[in-house]
Amino acid sequence: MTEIHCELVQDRMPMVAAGRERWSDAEARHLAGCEECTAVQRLLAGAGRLGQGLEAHYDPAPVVARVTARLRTEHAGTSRRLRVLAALAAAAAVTVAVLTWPGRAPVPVGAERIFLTELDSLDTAELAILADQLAPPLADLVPSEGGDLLDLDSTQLERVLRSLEG
Amino acid sequence: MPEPAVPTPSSDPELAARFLGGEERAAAELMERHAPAVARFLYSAGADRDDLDDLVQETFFRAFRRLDTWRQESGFRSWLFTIASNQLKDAVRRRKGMRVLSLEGWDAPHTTAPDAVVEADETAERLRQGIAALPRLQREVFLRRVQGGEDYAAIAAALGTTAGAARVHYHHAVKRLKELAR
Repeated sequence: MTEIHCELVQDRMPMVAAGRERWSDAEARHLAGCEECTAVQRLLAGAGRLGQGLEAHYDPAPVVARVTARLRTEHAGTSRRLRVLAALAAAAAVTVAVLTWPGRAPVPVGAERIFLTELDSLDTAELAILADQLAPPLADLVPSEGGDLLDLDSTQLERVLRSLEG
Repeated sequence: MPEPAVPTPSSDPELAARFLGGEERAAAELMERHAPAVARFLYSAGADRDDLDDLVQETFFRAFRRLDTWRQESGFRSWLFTIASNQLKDAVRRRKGMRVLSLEGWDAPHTTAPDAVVEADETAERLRQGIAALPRLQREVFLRRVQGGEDYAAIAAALGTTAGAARVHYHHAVKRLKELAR
């Protein structure tokens, strides 16, 4: 008769309980006569039943609604940040173009306020193209780790613009 | 006359790909499919009943935010369990001192009110607390094997360990729970 080690039987108990494996005749005989293994089998059966009622009655609808709403909010926030970035990049590009125009007399910083009304006629794609042409890339100037340009005040935004001008 | 074709449910990887492609409904399908099992896993691992919905919600939110990192070496549910386990660990850390489970706490008063739907059985609650008091890897391997019927290779892939180590964790967990039950 083959000797059956308790540890081997206990090792396979969850798989047999899940229907993925079956006891051999020798293992079944061992189980029938081994108190140690029977006790472990009871323990595992109890652990296997834990939370079964909860799972069967759990209503995922509230979780679905809340997670979906959070994902939408996050997506909207990302899109808004991209739009602001594009507009800011375009404004910076035009500022640089105006300030470096050939033949233009040097203007002391802060002595002149520039209005960029021409940006109003550009759509998002055109603004994005302008942003791509910037050097250094505008993304390098954007606050990282959750920073949001919308959180900057006008002075901080002006600093970002000035840094683009070198 | 041929039977009308019954639509085959999409697999988890298919739904994940659809969500990454912008289809919101795919996320809802994944949640409907796996949220009850995630809730059960968290509950069995020691989560308070009152915290379950928040923990499940946070698990899925984080999963969808980094769905592109799911390597599919382990199943989607198994991957969710790993995230859920991290959420539970963080929640317990945040509430440190409010709820302490220890091996000596086998006979401690229950911190979760019995609920006929959840688990009214006192023995089951004590077992749950015993599982919650296990070291994390032992607890995870034990629950995945006993409740999920996962083999050691799958557990090892999910937990970033070896099948041999997973087997050792399982037997340590059984041994400790057996001692507590005596």
